[in-house]
Amino acid sequence: MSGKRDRVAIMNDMLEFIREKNGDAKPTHIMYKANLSNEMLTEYIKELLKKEFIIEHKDKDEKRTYSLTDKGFKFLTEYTKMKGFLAAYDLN
Amino acid sequence: MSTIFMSPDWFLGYDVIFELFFFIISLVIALYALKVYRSTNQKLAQYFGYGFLLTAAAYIVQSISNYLVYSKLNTQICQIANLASSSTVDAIGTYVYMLLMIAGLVVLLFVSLKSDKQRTLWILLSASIIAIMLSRNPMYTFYLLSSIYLAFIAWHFVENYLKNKQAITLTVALAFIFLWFGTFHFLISVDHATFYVIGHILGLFAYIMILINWYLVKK
Repeated sequence: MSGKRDRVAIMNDMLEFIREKNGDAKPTHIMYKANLSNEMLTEYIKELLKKEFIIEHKDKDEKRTYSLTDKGFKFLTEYTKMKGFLAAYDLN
Repeated sequence: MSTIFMSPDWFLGYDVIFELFFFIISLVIALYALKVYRSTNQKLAQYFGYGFLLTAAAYIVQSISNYLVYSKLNTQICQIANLASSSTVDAIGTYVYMLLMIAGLVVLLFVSLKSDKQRTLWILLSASIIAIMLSRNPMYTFYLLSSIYLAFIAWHFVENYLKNKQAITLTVALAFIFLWFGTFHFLISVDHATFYVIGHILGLFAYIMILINWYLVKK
């Protein structure tokens, strides 16, 4: 949306990737896809969990994956509308 | 604007409905822009929201002022406030409308300039308000400034449409062209009563375009 990605744009990128992966998004893949450091990834994952946009799953080897919640899907839909509004009035 | 001097008799009351419609649409756009700002931190969305909020305030003042002129409430207000004549209420309403509307247009112009210097906004705002307040013909000055500002805003949205040819950018460009022509028409019109009606009808087309745009964005 702007030259420097803001927090919401980063969260949007992460959520879009998690949606694409259909419940099987691994932390390292999210980190590469969203171009984040490990520290930043942990911080963003915490925030997304706190906002209840994603849920965490652990397999028998304690490996973590993430999937979107209904709230996460709603956020993505609303964010797309907001991007449309910003584009319509050239507010980027 | 000033109903006493400009509106034809047959249009009395319809203008209040038009202005209420403009007020509602402006308010919806303003509140959504501020919501977008809270979610995305886009500073331009915040200014855009304030611009439309001022525009909405201008329309509600104009609508109430016009309503008071037709209704008996005007005489009662004059008695309570000890005002010299009933046209004083209309004159105050007109002045407040002009100042709020020009402030809204200045903010929208500032958004279209994409300047990161707030001083630009304050210079434009103070110069516009002073020009209207000190003018011998405030209404003419108001329409002249509004026409210039709306021309630049419309131009900006036409450029945006040419860069990004979509229905959402086209409706915005058309809306601001209608608004500009509705204002510019005042400067060249001889019969201001006809202008008053045409200005409101063009405003209606403009806000219908903004409403269509809102539908396209939200669907």
